[in-house]
Amino acid sequence: MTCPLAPFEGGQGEVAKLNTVNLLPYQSLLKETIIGLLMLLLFSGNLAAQPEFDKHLSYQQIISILDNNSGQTTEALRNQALAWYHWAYYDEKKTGNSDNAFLYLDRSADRFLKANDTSAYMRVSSDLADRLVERGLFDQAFRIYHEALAYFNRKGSLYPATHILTRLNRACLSNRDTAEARKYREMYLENNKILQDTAIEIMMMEDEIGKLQKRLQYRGAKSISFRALKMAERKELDDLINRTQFSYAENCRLDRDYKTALEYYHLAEQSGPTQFIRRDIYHGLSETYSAMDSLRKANYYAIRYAQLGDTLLDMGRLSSLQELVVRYGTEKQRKVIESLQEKNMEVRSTAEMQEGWLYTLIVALFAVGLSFFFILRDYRHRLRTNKVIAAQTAALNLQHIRELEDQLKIDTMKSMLVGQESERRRIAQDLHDSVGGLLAATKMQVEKLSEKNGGSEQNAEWLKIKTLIDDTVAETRHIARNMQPNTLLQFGLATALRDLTSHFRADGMPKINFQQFGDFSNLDHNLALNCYRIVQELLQNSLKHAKAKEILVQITCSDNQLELLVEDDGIGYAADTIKKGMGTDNIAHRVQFLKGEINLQSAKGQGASTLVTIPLP
Amino acid sequence: MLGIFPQGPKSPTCSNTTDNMIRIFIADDHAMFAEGLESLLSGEQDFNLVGKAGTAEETLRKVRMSPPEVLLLDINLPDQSGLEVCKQLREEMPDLKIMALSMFSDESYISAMLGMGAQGYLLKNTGKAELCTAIRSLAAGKTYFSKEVTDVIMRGLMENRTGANAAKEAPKVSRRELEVLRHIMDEKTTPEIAQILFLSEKTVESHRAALLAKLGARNTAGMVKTALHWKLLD
Repeated sequence: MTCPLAPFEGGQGEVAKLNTVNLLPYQSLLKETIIGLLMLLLFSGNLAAQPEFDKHLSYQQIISILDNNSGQTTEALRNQALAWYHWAYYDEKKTGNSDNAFLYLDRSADRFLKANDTSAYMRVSSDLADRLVERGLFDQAFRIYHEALAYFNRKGSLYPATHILTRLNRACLSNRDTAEARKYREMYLENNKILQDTAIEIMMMEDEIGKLQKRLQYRGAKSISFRALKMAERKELDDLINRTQFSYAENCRLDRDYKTALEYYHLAEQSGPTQFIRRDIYHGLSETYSAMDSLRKANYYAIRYAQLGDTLLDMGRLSSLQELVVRYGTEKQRKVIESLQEKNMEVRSTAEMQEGWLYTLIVALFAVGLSFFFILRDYRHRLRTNKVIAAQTAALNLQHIRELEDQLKIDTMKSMLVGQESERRRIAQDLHDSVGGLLAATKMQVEKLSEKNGGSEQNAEWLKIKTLIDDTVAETRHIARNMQPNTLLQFGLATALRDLTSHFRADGMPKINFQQFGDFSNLDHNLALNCYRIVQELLQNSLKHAKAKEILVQITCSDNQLELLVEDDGIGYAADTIKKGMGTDNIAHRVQFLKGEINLQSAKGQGASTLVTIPLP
Repeated sequence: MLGIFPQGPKSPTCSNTTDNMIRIFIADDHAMFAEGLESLLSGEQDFNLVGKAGTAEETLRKVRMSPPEVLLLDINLPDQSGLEVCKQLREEMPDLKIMALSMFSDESYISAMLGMGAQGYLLKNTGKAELCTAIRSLAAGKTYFSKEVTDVIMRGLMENRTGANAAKEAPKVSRRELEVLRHIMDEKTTPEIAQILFLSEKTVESHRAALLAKLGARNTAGMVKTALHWKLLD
């Protein structure tokens, strides 16, 4: 069968973009090519509908396809998908970065999926996943494989599903998860019992060959690749014959059977390989001749390899070429160059040494003169200004000491506050998770027991125990909330403060009015926690001491500052009578730590108002 | 042919369950509490405890595999918030009844949980009788909340109502704002007010903004008009 869609050959000058950008090592390149071809063979029944993956599209063409196909019809979706596909490779080639390419390929696969184009979907999605695997992004790759697998399973398409299984197997191997890999391998082997597909069988053989090559068992690899070749010949699959010939040649070379290798390389060269394979054939030929010490021929094929590499835009070729030139360059030339270089160095170093001496002398003289000048000037200067300097230094030192002290204070405070908070968090957690849970469990057991004793809900003693437990639970909850406001973490400062104020809403308590202005959603957690504590302390002071009827809690957040206001209409206090209690100290520390300001307003009998202003970073 | 592909979870077959029993699932990371709950519920004839889990991940997995009728869900799961679990499960299974179980009686938690689609909210010190009533209510398609929870919700609603009725009573203005307002009515500029009150201009500006918001005014003239209307400066 001659495959009407030798896909990687499409338009001699415009080699399949898919491959031009693959900067893969040589071995996996070969594998990719073979798999790509096999994949298309699998779908040869569907050839008429194959999208033009390998046609070269310019940036303008891609854009205009996207512009003209905005609809959701199958045709439009397919065109979109194709455009994204090409864009992916265009972008990657242009930027050298694959991140966007992954995104675009994902879009392309998605569009093909929506268009229900099974074969194209499989090609793009497995292509994407393969590349993710190359980059070590296994999680994403597995997700894509599994999505595709689920889709094909749903559709009952055995070919593509099997194909994906082979890919999964390969990916697991790359991820060193041999157990998973074995699982997938068994699955696709099982599937192939039904499919009996030569392409997949050969693919499996390629797997085997790859494994053997890794273990350096070239003889085994050689015999399997020979079997693959014979199988391809029996089925008369031209492209497979070409590739298996090449593969056999490679394995012969690795097994040091150079004569056979040469024979099959030349056979493969004549049986119409793609540019891609052709290049690899030249590489192999060059290596073989080099191993056979026929350096002239090795050099000839190395150059042809490099020339082809030019058209293929492979980055790897440059280094290979240099390597080859160095390896096959004549010994004589190298020696001449070396001796010339040595001579050059000698002459240069003598000249440099003489020059160096002269400069050193000049510099030394100059330095001596200069230092005399400075010493004299400095001495005179110092005599005159000694006193001023001393005073200035003292002032500077003092300031420095003050700054250091401040910094030390802030540091101490910071570590104290941080330590305090983390301790509180721990205790609150314990109270909640452990004591709270245990109490709830205790209550249940008590209930059960009371039920056993005749369901005596009215029994006063049982009731008392239950009430006690309830009170303990409520108290635990209250302490835990004081220790660590859970809502602060979950919902932010404004909600947490609203909750805080709402907990004091009861008969006989002052009426608390809570107001908020601005957006509090982007506050740093530490800042929010400190602000919460400040308001909490201020509120508690008002509740405890002020005998107020109404309390206003108001927080305002603007672009560059945060205002916390707690105001009551209670008994007030004269400014100098504030007790240096734990609370006010704590507030002052926190405000200082946040580089904010406190503004207190109060007088006897006129309530109190505390405004804390904190700058935002 | 499909048998050789990886399979999704099989749909559950509950042969040992009769139709009129309420299938209950417990999600709580506190083992002691979960056990207590289990032993408390196991005494009831019409309850069938189908499973329990200690993490959000486990809960999602098990509930998806074998959906219960009523899920008792702790808000405070170790790996993920119960809120998130509630949201996900409600989206996937509209028929599932979710009862939040929590140590928290904060309004924000309660309203968040209701917002995520929970039909009930119980505090963890709830007694057996109430617990059973709550579960049966949920199974019958009704909602259920502890008394304390209802109180919290009511208080929140009341506060909102006073907010909505704000036009009927004077807006709550802080003393500092009042001072700023007084100076504004004396036609003082922001820098002048800042100087008089020993405040930064920024703070004065933010007081002015708060005043505009509280008095529902668009500019200084409107602000003055509303202030006069409520006799704020008397």
